[in-house]
Amino acid sequence: MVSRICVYVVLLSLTRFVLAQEDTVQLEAITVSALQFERFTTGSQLQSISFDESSSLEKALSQQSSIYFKSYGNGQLATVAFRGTSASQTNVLWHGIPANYPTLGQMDFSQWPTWMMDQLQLSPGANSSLYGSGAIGGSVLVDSDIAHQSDRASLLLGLGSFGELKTGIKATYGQGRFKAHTNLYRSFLQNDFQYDYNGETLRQNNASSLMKGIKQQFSYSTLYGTSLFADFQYFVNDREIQPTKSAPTSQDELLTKNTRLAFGANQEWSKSSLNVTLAYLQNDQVYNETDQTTGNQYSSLISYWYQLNDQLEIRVGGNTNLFTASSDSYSDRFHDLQADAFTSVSAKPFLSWQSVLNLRQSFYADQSPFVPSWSNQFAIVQGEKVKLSFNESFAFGFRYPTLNDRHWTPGGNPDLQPEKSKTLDGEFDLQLPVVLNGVSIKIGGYQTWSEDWIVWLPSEAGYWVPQNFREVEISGLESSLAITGDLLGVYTLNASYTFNRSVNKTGSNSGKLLPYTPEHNARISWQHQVKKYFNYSLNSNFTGKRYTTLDNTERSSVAPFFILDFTLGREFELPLFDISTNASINNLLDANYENLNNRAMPGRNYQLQLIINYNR
Amino acid sequence: MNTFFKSLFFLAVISILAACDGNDPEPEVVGQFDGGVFVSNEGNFGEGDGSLSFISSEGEVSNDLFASVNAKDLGDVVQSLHISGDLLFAVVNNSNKIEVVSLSDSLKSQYTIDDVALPRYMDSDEDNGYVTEWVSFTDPGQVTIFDLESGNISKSIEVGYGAEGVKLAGEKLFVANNFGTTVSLIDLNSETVTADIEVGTSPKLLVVDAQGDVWVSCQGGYDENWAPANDGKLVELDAATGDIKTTVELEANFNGKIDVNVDGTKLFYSVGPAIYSINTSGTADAQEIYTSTSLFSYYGLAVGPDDVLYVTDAAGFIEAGSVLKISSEGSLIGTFDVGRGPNGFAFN
Repeated sequence: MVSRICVYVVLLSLTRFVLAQEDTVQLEAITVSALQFERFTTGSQLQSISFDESSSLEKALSQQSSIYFKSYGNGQLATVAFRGTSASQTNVLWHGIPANYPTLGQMDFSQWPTWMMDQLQLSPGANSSLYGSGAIGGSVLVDSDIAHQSDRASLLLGLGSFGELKTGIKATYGQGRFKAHTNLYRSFLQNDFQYDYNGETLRQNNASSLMKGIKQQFSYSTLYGTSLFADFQYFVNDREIQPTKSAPTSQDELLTKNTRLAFGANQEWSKSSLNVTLAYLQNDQVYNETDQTTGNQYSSLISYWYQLNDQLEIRVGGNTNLFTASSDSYSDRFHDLQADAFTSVSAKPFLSWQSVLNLRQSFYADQSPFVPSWSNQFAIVQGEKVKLSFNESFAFGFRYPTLNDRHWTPGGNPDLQPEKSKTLDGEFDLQLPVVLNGVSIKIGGYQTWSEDWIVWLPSEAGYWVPQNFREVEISGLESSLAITGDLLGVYTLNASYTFNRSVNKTGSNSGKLLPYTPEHNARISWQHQVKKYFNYSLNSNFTGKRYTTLDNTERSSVAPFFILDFTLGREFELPLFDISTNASINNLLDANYENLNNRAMPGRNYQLQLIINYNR
Repeated sequence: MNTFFKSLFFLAVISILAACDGNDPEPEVVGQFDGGVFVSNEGNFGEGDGSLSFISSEGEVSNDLFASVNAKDLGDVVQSLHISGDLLFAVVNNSNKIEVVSLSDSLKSQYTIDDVALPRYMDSDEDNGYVTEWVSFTDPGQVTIFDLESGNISKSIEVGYGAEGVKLAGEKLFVANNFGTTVSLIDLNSETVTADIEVGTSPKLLVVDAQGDVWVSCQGGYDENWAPANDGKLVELDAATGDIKTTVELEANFNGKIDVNVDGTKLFYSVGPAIYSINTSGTADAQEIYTSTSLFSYYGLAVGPDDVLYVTDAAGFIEAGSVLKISSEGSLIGTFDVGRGPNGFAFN
């Protein structure tokens, strides 16, 4: 137990240092499942994201330039892709359990409000060996641990342009070693924004969305290092699918229900721990009130961590995922079982060198990819004024075909092989803790060689069939700067820039960029707490040109855009209550832009938020 | 303090750079359209990037014509084109509309018909246009009659599921019901369906031959495991009675794209990478005209006024497609880069 607290404190302080520049400080305890990963990552492989719980995930991730947040519109399908890969190559884990919708192999983050998230971590890079199947681009880890939350209750009220109304209430409460957390959320967005098209001003009439969610968690800890948790979530998202600008009258509707249930048990000893998690996830989608697809997932995760000495730690474990699905588009009922066995070794031969080896052997149908990764962190300078380290890793990655790829009728191809990748990356990390209040500079690069990308192609039978078709090489440079200082209060400046080239190596368009992989991505943000009076922030995002087809012609491209958001906030502390208010102007410059070809995005718009926290 | 101002400056510079990054494409020059061929580029479903291309008789290609003239995109899934007099009709399936432009007025938009649901193909007589509509995947399809000059709809007639190809033959309208196995026969005097002719699985398109008979293509079906049933066929119907005169079994499934040469004596179709022709009278075997060595299959097929064959390669919709121009003897005359997902033609 003591060791766990120590690790927790160390990690918390490290995280605080790294994230001192982030906007909303909302650090929670590192959960058991997150710890299982933390111990076997080096450098920036795992980045905690602090976020404003009343705002969108897009804003929360807006400073992560290694991510391409692909949104079909306000409140519409939103996916995350890392480092020039595709959204289906992003692995999403919830309590360590794979949480991508198994039919599509993606997560729609618009259906997971930040109000119902506690912790969010990103892990760019190929880390299938560490985080489970599917991470060719990177991983998103969503987690929560109420055992370390203090008792409190919060109420959220939000109003915004285009008929947005948000309400949420949540409370953490408990007695002794027992804790519970209840969370309710509802948001509605009429989304009838105006947009300019061909010199005309049109109104978006068919893009409303309704989101409702309930979450209930329990945790219990004993004196003997045993802790138990249960997490239940049920989200309903009912939205009109925003039509293209050229078909504004088309009306389609998608009703999605997500049920997630997880039970976990953890036993801590002085130098080891055992963690078992069982989960059930259901993703139910009804398109236009008729076509229903339901995916069910039964998962288990077991992992054991052991610290041999100060220099050596190991982890062994396994994960099973059983998938079933029912759909008019699947002719048969099926049971697809995936299983993984993994082990990790973290060694610190010298104070200045940490080396981590991760191995994963996976099984699915007749496929059995083996993916090792090896990462190293070298502390080059470790002074009080200057810290310089170099991190590098070489990792194999893979992604299994989705249930649609395997079972869709007609076309589904059960003989598909997993997509495979090899990624080499390296990064210099310079920390200057005494310049101003802290300066951090990171510069790195990566190269991915990947093959067998699954592409749906026309077949002799007259319908489309997925095939292992494409070979892709991705190379990129990432840089970031974070400055913290004091000017009538703490300010932080974050700037990042990523240059990425995702190059197709197959067919007549070999050498061309993949669709929707921008070469240039830059983010700058500024947060400033002016004494106790108020705080304000500016967030900007530049996304470069994206081609929509593989031949990279100018006429099949989406123009670059620059978006600037401004938020002004004020907090009031009362004896029993904290009241936090803020007003945001999104798209301050009223840019007329498209994230995806022909999908209108709203111009300048406004939001007002009020959060009342009751602290016992 | 220094850093503070530097940061603000950095933000300002980035803003200005972004603001200056105008990227509007220059409109392409629109030429004369006599003797050339228009190409409908379907676009990728859901992306709204359907477009109109034109290949002149000299082989010059102009792409994105509708967008460059009318400053708006043509729409989502441009299913087919039709020319009547001075008007070019673009039937835009997933945008639920028909865009109508003038050939003599540089393709300027004349009117738009919005009151159609999943429209597919059209034919016309002197006064009226006849457009098929799927309506939905669960409702019966229909044929909608509209005034060519104004675009005003006068009537919709319910036919079978998946109303697809449509052909006018005298006072009768033949409609292929693609989700089923029949062709609906409509009497235009009474504007009612007078017969449902059982022809084969997935009737697609219709053409009229030299004798005035109507040919319908049937794409073929699938067994319970979605293996092709290889029962694609060409069926010749008596235009007056709707009776079946000839059935040509293809022993394969195919895309259903058919056309006849100018005098209507030969009918052209493709199976996989091979293009065939058969005589519309007599019993001669099908003749292989041309086989692509690089293409998996063609997406569109038509015969031009000079009996030259035009076929399209949709290139998997991941890049711009192309048009292949092939002589009636089967030699490749040229290849033209057009828009995304080219699927059909209209000859001026």
